[in-house]
Amino acid sequence: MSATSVGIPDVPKPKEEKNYLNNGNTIASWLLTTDHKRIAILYLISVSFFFLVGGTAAGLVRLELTSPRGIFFENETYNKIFSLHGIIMVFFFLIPAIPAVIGNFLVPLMCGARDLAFPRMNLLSWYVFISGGFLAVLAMLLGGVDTGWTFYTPYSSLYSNTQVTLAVFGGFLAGFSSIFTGINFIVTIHKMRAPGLTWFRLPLFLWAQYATSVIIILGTPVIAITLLLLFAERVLKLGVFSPELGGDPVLFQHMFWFYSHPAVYIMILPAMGVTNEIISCFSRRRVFGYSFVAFSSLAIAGLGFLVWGHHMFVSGQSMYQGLVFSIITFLVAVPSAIKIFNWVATMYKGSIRLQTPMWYGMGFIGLFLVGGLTGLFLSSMASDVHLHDTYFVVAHFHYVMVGGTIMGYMGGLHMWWPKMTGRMYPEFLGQLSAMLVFVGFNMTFIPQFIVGYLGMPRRYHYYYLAPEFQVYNIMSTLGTTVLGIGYILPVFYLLWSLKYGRKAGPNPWHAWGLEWTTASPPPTFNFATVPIVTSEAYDYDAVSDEQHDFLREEEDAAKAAEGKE
Amino acid sequence: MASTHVDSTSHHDPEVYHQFETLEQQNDSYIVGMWTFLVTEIMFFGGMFFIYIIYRWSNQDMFYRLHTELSWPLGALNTVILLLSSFTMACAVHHATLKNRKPQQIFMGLTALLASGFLVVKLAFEWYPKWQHGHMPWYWDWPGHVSSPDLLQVPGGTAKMFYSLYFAMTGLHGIHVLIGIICIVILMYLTKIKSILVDSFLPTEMFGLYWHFVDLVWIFLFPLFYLMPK
Amino acid sequence: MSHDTHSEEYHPHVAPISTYFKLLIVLMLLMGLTIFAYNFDFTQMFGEVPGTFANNIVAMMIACTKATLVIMIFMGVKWASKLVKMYVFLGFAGLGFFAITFSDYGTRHMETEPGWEGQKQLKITNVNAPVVDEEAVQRATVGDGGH
Repeated sequence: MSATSVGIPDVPKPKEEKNYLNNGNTIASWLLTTDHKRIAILYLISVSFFFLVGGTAAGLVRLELTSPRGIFFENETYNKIFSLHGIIMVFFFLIPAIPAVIGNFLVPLMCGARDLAFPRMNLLSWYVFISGGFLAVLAMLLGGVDTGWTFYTPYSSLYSNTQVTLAVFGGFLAGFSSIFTGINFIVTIHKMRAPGLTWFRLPLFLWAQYATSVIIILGTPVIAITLLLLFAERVLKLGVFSPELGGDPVLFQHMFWFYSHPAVYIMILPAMGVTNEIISCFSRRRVFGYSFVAFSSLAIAGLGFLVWGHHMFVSGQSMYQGLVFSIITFLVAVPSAIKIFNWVATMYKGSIRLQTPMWYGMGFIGLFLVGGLTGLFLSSMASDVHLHDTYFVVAHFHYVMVGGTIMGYMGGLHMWWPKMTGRMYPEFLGQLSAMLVFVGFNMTFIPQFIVGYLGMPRRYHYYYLAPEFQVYNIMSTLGTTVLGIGYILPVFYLLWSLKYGRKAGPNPWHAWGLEWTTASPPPTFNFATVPIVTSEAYDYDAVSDEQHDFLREEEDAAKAAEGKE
Repeated sequence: MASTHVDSTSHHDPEVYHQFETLEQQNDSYIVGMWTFLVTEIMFFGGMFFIYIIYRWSNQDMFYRLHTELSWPLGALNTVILLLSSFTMACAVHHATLKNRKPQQIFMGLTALLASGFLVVKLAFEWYPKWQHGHMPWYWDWPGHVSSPDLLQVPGGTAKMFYSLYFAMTGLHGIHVLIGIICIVILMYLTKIKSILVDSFLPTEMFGLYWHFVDLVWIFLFPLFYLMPK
Repeated sequence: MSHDTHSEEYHPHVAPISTYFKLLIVLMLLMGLTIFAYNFDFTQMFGEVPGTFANNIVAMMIACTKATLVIMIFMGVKWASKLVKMYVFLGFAGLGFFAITFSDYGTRHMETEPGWEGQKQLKITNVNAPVVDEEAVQRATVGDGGH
């Protein structure tokens, strides 16, 4: 850090010059762009669409479950609705959400590069993703899929007469899109860092993205070949997983979870990366134990590949292997806990500013903590026998995947929204929606822990033999309503802010990082000059007390201005 | 935090894309990118090999019986063809690096020819007779189609499983060969019209990596399917 | 690369064709060796080890040697940067993750759960087989009376 600019990088006042948003307004200039920022916006629009579709399905599922005998769905329809929810949310929202939107936007900016290493491949990845999503949505429109998002054989390959083929092919394509993104990130982070930006000066978001990309390139091809074989088994009548031929359906589960468990880390690691940035910025402190947090990302990526068998404790794998997987699963708690402790230690004695991203960041810590700790119940074999395939599991993985990933995604979206659009969102509504999400989420899923422990199985439509479960289901559905408002609210005020939001300077949060040294929104090639990094990451300690006061005063002034409008 | 020195628009080397600083950085990035892609290919085929190992482990006797239906001399012939094509491809990359366009074209043409030869042997001399004898996976559901009745003695549809694995693995490999042929024809065309895209040796080098990988897969497929010990 | 300004700074490695040709010969010889090993029973050589196992090891060792040679020389990893070497290693190390699954298939027959005794190994049972009810036969031979 040069002596003159402490914490607040000195940036020339942005002139009314071309930025990536107004550099070309035709539809072709968007659809044929190779600019990583525009592709991030394309991804943002598409994953928001898929989130809407998946969220609607979730709402329908919750509504149906308020009555023990169902309300308006046939059994088959119910199966299709929850499969729709799972497939769309996992393959088309959670996996691409943070890497493809926030990562695509930020990785080159944080590296100080003009673009990703392979811009055309980046565009291709969006097209492949959209084609996959199109096929999946088409499968739903042509009658839906009733296998659940896990596509277990032999039901999916031999018996189900729904649109499994289309949906599987859609998932296969979505896998390719994340492979392209992963390759791009790895090469960019390795080869295109700005001068002076050594590995241990990288923002931790990039470490997280790097670990994610390694998981993507090692794991995704395996789901690709698995889905391809399932596809061949359905279409060409190949016999690979079919028990009629002496094949082993459990082998499909091995292959499926070989990817799909690490996929959970594809979802959660980038969210952890976002949380690092948020916690550090809004506590005005360097992340505590930087290198531990960095290496814990890699440790999670490595260990994540060794634990898939805990999905199969009761599905016929050898119990000795169950033991191995159970032990390694406990080990994953170690690097996760390192992160949690380090975030809390970062906040300790920090100068905490409770703004929207910070609400999401702290919400992430709380929800991920609950999700992680309930995971320990499921990773011990004995209690898993009781809890497996109940709503306890549903609540657990929603705490990790929704409470973790979407909190990180929303937090990141709010933190970098001024950078993406050049406009501030309304702070009050932002904080309101963050709190609604947090409260609504807990209202939705805490009852599911209880009802799952009491024995309600997942994917069941009717539960009239146990009418005492109804109260929990109604509580859960009520929570969903709050959660839904919390998710819909940002759609409106973020769109509103595009036109009416207060103009954000290049660095509204006074945050550390190369992305804050360029204009908001950034010009097409990101930096007018190649930046040279001379300081450690998160160099917030250099901010003196007076500057803190200054920051506060500035914020108050901004709030007052907002109130007047 | 950052002082700014280098004007980012200063270089205008036409060979270097806008996102890179130097040619060296660009070339390194492409090679690393290609290798990360090959990592995904390794895991892709690795998944299949893994399924193969599991099933052969539990069906060794039947798989041995079934593998005698395959002709190892044809497999060996294809191995020779692929090894030769790997050699010609390496030579093509060598000449591309030195910008000797003529020998580069000749060696790439040879590679394409050998690759087509591989596919001809595979389809005409291996797959087609199996089609005729009714060994395609979907025939096993109707045993009347299978012309060698002693094969039906193999229990539990293991024959169907063996042929499913055989067609899936060699078929996937064959698709990779086909993609390779298409790529090499495009590369040769671009070199012929002296396109700026292939002025650097990198496209040829990257395709070479891909092609050697295809060879690599066959190196394992050959002993696993054609040379199964009892 | 001879005309442009970067020629002093950047030299890609160029291996001579003779190296490639020697490698081709070696690969052909190794292929011949595999075929020879196919028709040769290694049981006597390795004593107690069953022939299948020994032959598989030999065949796979030859294949791995060939693969290493192709990667190192044809694909130029020998002269490549450390980063490339790291990713080559990572790719093959990734295959190692699969290996845990063998602890599933290798230990299923050790299950002591009632009803699992019959499964000495992953057993083929043809659901469609018209004549023999293999499960019944199995139950009769093992005689556990589990269910």
